[in-house]
Amino acid sequence: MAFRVFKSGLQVDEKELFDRICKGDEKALEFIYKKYYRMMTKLVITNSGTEDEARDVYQDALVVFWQKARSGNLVLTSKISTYVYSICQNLWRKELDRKKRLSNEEKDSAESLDLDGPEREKIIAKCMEQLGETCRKVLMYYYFDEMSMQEIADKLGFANTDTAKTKKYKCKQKLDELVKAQYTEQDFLD
Amino acid sequence: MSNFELIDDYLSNRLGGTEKEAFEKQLNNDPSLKSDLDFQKQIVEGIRTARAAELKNMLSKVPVGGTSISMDFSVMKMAASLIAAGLVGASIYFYVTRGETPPFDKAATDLNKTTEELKKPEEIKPDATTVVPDSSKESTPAVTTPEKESKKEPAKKQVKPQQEVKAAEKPKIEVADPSSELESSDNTKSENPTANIRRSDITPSQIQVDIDSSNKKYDFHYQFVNGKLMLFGTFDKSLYEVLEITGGKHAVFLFYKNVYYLLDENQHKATKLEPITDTALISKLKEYRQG
Repeated sequence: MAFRVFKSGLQVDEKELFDRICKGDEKALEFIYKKYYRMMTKLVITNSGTEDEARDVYQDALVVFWQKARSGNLVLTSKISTYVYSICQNLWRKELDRKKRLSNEEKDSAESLDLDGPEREKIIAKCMEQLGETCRKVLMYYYFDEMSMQEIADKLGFANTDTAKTKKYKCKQKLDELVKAQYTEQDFLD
Repeated sequence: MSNFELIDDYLSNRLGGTEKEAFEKQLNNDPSLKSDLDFQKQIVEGIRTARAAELKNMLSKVPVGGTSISMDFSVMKMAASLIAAGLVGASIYFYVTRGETPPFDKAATDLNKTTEELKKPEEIKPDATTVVPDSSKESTPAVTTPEKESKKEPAKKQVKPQQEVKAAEKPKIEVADPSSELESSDNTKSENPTANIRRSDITPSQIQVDIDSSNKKYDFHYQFVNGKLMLFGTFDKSLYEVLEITGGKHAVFLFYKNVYYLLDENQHKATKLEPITDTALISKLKEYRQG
């Protein structure tokens, strides 16, 4: 797939940028990231956050924006920067709140009960790494970007949607098996 | 449709309204289906986490410095020179081919015109090339600050903190109005090149700074190593400040004990810090620091 390179300093039409995001143009996301970096990170830095936290919040906000735009559930009624800024605000507020709760030692029950959560996440992440690159991409495009089989076929150069569908099914089965085996092993060890 | 497909479509938001409702009803009456769903949900979440991490990793590799600004600036200057040269050439050609010697006054007027053409791009340069977060197009009255719109436009699926904590405990976020970054200065038309720097273009730098106070050879020096600023000497941490200009030409300054120093980002060898003597530039930097 050919990507058009964005040049800093030139005005890029907001609508065009948003359309490209919706179509899955990662270069457009990189362009937005660079363009608003200072403005978005400033929000966190001026509200008792470090630069690392600021970058993390901004990146998380862009990931949320990307997923919503990709899934077709987002009708943008404001500027992209305004929308992303509001996500940053929410995320940082949530993080400050989490920190406050931790410092007050008021860990809520859900957190203390769900100790297995992070362990399970690690297992699944490990299994994902064991899949081939194509399998990983097929699954990520299908479940995160919510791409259609046609889009997946186009993006990954498959002959047709049937190939994409079969590939997705097999990759998912493979991942399920890997995770199940790991879970069993974990239970056995426990 | 098999249970596997149903669960898969449900978790990937591909079930229609009625199908979704029917599936949720079925879930309540079938514990094994519920258990399959829980397992699949963990896997799908894992796939999503992996993709989010991949995207974040991709963004982390994007350089966020302002180096491209000065490049654009040079390109514009070059374009302006070419236009001016073209105009001078065209006017000479025009007079020569007509075989007339233009009256001195008229020629002078024409020359002034070309000078004006030359100046124009430089005068508008700060707005045309600056990389302040919102583009100049966005400075129209239609601009609304995020804090206004955030009330009606937050992400639909966003977990609102209010749901989790009492309102009284909600941390306050001081919102920096991004539109303030669009503010223009009256000084942009000045002939002095440093006057093109707008207050809003000067910001506290995010460049990482390391201090080496034990070096015997370098006692008041600096150098840039992989984008990091290295200061040599007995710098008192509370007394120095690094400022960065993002609009127009990109530049980095050090403020230490009431004196300003220009830092050359391409200086990779330890170099002595020399105070800035340009009074116009000092007053601009001062103006910024005093807020």
